[in-house]
Amino acid sequence: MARSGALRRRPTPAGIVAGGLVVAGFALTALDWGFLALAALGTFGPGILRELGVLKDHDEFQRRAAHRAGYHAYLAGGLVAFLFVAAIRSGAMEIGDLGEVATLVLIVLWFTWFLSSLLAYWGPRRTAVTLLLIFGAVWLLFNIIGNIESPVAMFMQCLLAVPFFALAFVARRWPRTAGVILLVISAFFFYFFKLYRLFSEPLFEMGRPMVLILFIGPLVASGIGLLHSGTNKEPTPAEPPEAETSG
Amino acid sequence: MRHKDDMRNNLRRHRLHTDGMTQQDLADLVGVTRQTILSIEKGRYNPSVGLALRLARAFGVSVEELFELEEGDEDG
Repeated sequence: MARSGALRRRPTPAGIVAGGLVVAGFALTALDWGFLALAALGTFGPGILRELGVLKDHDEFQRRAAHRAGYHAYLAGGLVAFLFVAAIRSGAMEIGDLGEVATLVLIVLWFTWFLSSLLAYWGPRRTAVTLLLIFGAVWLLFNIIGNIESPVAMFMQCLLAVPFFALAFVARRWPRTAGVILLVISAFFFYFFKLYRLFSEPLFEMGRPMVLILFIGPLVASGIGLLHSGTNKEPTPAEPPEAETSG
Repeated sequence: MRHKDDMRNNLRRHRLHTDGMTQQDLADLVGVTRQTILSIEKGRYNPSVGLALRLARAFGVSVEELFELEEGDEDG
């Protein structure tokens, strides 16, 4: 009963096209913000096509993970949106640019969906390792691009990516240790970026909410996930567990 | 109270007893990803009836031989 077109983890054509649209959309915003619609198409298009039954590149486990993540995103995004409406309409908050509010709600929505779907699909340990590798890679990429004319500065800046890769290595073997280190690092960055001023200054000054969600958020989520995976016992299987990588 | 998580499975045992079948082999056979097989084996995901039937057919056994409820949770 072998099936053709078996589902593998390699990127699907739809994923590659969607990724291309997202990258192109964001890159072209330098010319015109209208191109952001391309990024929206890449972000939400595949999901819409899957719900319409046109795209069938996910199995039931992936669909369940995406659906659960969608509900979590609805809860988080809806809550934040309601709080903003309440704060703005009551006069407790003055927003100069409503685009910033919409962007923040969108980031909360997307980040919650992304994190939740990763956690549901891969579990906390692998999610944390993946996030750390993404963090390290993004840091490397930005520093290489930003210091292309100064090799020494590029090298020094790139060294800062090493702790993320090292933590990804530690997280595979000692998840609780890595979890604690990540939470400590998160606290350090919270003070380093002066994020505590969120509570005393205008919300959108210096884009702090974005930093909190996109930078500190993954680190805290990874740390908590690793602590959770390190302390919780795996469900009792009908036989002794073996290595995850078998097969 | 019965929870869906109170189910356990013998998927891994059957797989390894089938000529050392890998998770990817089984995934290809039933049309899912390897991560789905891994999650079922680890008890993180309970498959749909359809997938459970496909898995049982792949090993030539009944669904009850692959999946069983934990003892003592027959009643609510």
